[in-house]
Amino acid sequence: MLPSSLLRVRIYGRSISPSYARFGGEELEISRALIDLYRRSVSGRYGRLLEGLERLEREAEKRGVDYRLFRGLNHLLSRRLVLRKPELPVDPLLVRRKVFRTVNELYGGFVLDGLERAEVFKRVAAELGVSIEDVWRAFNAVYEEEMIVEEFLPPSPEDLLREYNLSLTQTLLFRCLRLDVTLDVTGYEAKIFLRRVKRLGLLYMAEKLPRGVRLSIDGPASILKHTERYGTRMAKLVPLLLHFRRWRIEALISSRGRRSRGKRRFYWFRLSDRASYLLPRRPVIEEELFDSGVEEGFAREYMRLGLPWRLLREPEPLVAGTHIFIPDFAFEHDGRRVYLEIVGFWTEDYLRRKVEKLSVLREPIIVAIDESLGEFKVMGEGNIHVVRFRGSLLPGKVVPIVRMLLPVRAETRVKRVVNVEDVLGGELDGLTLGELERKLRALGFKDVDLLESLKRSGYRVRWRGISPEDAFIERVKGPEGAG
Amino acid sequence: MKRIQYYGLLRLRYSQGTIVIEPEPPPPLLRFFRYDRRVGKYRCLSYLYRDIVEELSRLGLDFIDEVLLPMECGELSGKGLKLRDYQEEALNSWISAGRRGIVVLPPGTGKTIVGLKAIELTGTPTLIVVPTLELLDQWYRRLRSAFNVRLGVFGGGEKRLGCLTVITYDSAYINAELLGNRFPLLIFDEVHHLPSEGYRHIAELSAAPYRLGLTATPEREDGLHVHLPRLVGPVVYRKHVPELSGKYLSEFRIVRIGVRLTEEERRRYKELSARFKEFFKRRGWRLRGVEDFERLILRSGRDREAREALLAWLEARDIVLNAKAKIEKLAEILRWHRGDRIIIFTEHNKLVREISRRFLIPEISYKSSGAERREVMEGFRRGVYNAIVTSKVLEEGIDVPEANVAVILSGTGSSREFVQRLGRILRPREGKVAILYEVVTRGTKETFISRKRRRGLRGASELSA
Repeated sequence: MLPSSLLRVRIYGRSISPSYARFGGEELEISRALIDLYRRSVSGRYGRLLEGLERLEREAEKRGVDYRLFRGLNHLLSRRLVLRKPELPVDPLLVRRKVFRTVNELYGGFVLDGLERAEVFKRVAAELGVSIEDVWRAFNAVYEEEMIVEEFLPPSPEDLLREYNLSLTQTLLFRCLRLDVTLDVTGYEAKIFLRRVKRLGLLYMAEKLPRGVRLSIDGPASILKHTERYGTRMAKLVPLLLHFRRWRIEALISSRGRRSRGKRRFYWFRLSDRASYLLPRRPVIEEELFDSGVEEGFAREYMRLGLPWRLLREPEPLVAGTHIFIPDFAFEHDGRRVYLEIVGFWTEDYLRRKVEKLSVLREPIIVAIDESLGEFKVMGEGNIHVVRFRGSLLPGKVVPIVRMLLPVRAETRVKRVVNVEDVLGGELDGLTLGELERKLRALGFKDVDLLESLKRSGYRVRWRGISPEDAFIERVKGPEGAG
Repeated sequence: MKRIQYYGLLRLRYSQGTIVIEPEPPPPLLRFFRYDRRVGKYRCLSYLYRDIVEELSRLGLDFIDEVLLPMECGELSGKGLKLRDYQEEALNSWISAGRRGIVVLPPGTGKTIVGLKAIELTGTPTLIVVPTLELLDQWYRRLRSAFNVRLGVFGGGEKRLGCLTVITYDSAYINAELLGNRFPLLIFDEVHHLPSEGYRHIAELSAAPYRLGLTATPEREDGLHVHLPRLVGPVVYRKHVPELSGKYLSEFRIVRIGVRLTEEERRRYKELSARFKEFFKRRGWRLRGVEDFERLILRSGRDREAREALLAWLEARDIVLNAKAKIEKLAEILRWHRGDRIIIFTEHNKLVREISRRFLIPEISYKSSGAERREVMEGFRRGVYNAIVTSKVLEEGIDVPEANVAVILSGTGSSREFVQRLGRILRPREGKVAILYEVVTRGTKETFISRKRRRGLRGASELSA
């Protein structure tokens, strides 16, 4: 984030956008020059770097570079700098104390000429047993300029510009009144995002979209007054978005600009993953597959049974009223779903609130509650089905309800077995089960028993997760594999 | 019958700087609240808490109040808190105004002790909000010697809550939600800072029913002081410098000394001023006031010529404020006052350092380390150091007893700044006449700046010799 005075924006009508740096021309040039200057400053005086920066800024300005760009880049680089105190035979603060005290004892508060000055330094040097130069150096060592540049961690010129663009985005959001975030992400990613929203003391309202959800984010006092108070916090959400593949934000920005002559105006700032190339690259968040042993055990047992309902882990976020709810699992068949939420630890109050929250869901959900923690009175009604278990949840408790809610039509049970290699005309190694299914479908093969077909064609499936996208097909080694 | 039952269940609770009422406000209270569909409840800003409680009581409605969660606190009896008559009056007016409102007293007349007494008489956990780290230290020391309870400090790297807690405006703004229901009494030192767009939240997000503001000058140039009655309460007591001068404030003289630019400085100054004026003329703009100047600053972001004009103006200002002759004049003034207790004020840090290095006078600037600042302040207070040089840091509220000479080498046109700086040398002592020197560069804009800042004295000039 940058000081607000370094923000650069463009305004078109009602929309506002930061003036992003592009990775070429003058902007790349200045980024490179700045990094070089910093790199060369290592192990020298900090003061020398500051002088160099002043010169470079003047030069850059002559070439037409916006000083706010220059200072913004400089601001980011300065944070990568490690300074240390110069090495001295005496402690600067001690020296200064001695100097000032001596001045007061000898001359009543200040020196007025070179003689008085020399006398003071001579006395302090003698008293501390060091040279007069050492005293003078130590006296000045408290100033920032006298620090030594110990280390600098240089980014690449392009990465510096990316970082700058992110900082500009965040700086613009300082004046954000409301942030609408559209996410098309996994339940796990949504969970991380919402946890962050909550921890920052923000509130949200959720809305279901054909693809993904829209969260309208602001703070507790936002409905009571126009406040930029939550802007800095909303800005902190942006780096998290960079970990996601599909996102979009729309921010309501309040601005007191040149055009409005000091009056408050409102603008929209829009940004999406399509601008990712301008921003720092962040790794996709690795999923921790399971929150608890109960969930893991259930998934393992269920997968073994090879039932027709596909099990999905933390499916897409659901909207319950104005809030997001992310169930632990979904069973899917024929494009329809039943959800499963496993409740390990609970209190009576927690259960009551949970059921209250779930009762506004449109989707059917099974709530499995561990009764080893005690008796509970909560009963399922409407779309909510309550299941009890002790310690570990076995599929047998859940499957009957799934079967009732998602009946499997008889004809879908009759599946064809095909020679997949012949059909696709080539190697299957490295494909996932999901990809294979899509390929076959594209060729007009529906209702193929994939696992059986692969087996007969000399392949097997290695599961790295529970979704078909995580199931990799590999050739079975050895003579029996040549089918 | 049903109504009564219904209202009997009313519950007020604090939620992140706001108050939530459940299940919903009775009609006479609807005006305070707004429906929050994000959570399906009614909500209002915390500072309305007192009004709501008073209204509920007036209507005779029962309610469960879970708003305040005051810090734990021992016995709040103060030691050595003797008030002068005008301080007593000030405190009484505040109490009869329902323990809300602002006390206006000139710098150096003991506002802190009014605050300390207010804490004792109110007897509740208190949050004291101050603008600078120096004041943070000072309040902490005063609280420690007056009360025997757990104290807290928030700001300048420390983060500790206590029954009586001192906090900077910045930290209080950042942590407003956390603090809003822990302290039934809020004291805003230098309360004129409070109405700014951001700091306002400190008062709005707090449920504290009791509030005291202290300042020498509540008025702000931007007019935002109109918010003060809502945030803290009205001015309940006010005294000006002349009313207290002589007995409670030292007598003083103001001496204005002109200096000239060197030949070289003058040439450059003229060149820059011409460039600046030429720009305005070319654009057909007129420079009438702050607004036009702000337009220039805003423009300079994207307009190269405007930027150049602005740079010319800044350099010209630097030349005037830091004129070489000022340092020489300072040497002369110092020669007249060897052995006196002197504070030197400048506008820029650069000049602070130059003076500190040349005259070996300890400096206090935001760049010096906390340890050194504290050491220097303490040394000056105890008389180990006779002179100190500072930029903006020491303006507000700091006790520097016995100082009798102030030198303003440079400053802004703000009358508040001027009054504050003067206030640093007005602690009374038998036979003391304080002197304030104002060093001004002749024939430049600085003469206007000087005239402007002096408007703050309001009727005091007849007291100066």
